[in-house]
Amino acid sequence: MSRLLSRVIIRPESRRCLATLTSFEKKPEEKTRELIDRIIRVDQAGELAADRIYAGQMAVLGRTDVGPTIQHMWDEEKAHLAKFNELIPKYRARPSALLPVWNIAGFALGAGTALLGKEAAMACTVAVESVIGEHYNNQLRDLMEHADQTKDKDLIETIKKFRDDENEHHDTGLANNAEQAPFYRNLTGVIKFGCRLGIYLAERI
Amino acid sequence: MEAIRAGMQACNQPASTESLFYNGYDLVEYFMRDANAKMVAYMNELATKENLQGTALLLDGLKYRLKLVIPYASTWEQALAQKGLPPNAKRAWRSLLDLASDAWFSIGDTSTDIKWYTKRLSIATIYRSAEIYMLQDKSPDKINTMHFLERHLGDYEATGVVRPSMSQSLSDTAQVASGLLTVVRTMTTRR
Repeated sequence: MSRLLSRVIIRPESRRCLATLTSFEKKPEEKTRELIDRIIRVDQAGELAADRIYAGQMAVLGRTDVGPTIQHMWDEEKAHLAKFNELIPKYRARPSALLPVWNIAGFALGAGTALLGKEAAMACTVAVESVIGEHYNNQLRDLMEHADQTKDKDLIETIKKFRDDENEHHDTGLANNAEQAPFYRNLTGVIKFGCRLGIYLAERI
Repeated sequence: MEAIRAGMQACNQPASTESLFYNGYDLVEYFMRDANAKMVAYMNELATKENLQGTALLLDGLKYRLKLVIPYASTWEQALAQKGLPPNAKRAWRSLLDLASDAWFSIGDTSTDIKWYTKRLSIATIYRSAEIYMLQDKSPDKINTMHFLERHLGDYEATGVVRPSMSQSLSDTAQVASGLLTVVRTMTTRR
């Protein structure tokens, strides 16, 4: 049962995220609309969670020497969140109903890993950013296939830029000795699973 | 369903076109969507021409939407009863939420968190209870229903404002409840 669940959630790169994309009963415009609605919903939830994760990390590690690094990454996440908040009314997307959950969970994750040490906080960053990078790439693939390239160019460019920013955060995390965190592999494994579960839920709810 | 058949006869279509329609609810669904679209057009027009903002625009839009239903008030309780039936409930719910969403969108709402949900749910409940109120309304031109809308939107907007008198809200509740009862009765007696 849990193996089935993890297969659904872990979702190899070849699988698409939206079942209706392959259905032949819906009109293309409807499919695109649903896809964009889902993308904006999950991305806004994700950026809110990332914002809260960094807030949690700053709350614990703000005064140490990695403080400025985390602050810099946090500022970029805040800009990402602002951009998605702008896109929601523009595309009339529905925000995730579980936003309060993402808010609390993000802060708890950030603060929790920061309490385990600087390296653990960096490991958390590495884990989250690697899932996010893969997730944005999936979205870009879907958008390239199903969205209008000229009308939605803004959205595609935005996601590309944010994906590059997140990859940069990932590399920053690695450069700051993330791999020396205690139980690095297990820690990142659990965090990645949690992120994928969050993405799965935010897309739907 | 008889209405759809009568309409098809009026347009001289053969009887087999009846199979295009899933069930009698399709007519109601079309009406809802059409009325929602008209409401959006009306609200956009008001916003540009007369510069109405915020609650006043919302109130006007909802009143307009309600007025679109009033000509059919005598048979509307059947429509509401059909909405309660399980095969139709999902579409009915969807068009009601679309109404709320369209209303907020025409006002230029930009909430991006849990308020998004509370705003839409509140408008949906107010509108639906106004419709049910209207079923029992016997005043000329349904003026009482319009006052009902104003009272409740006013409540929702500024919670610091003087609440309506106790007897007023009691009679409102009673009227909505009796309207609901007629809907339930229609649901259970018709096929």
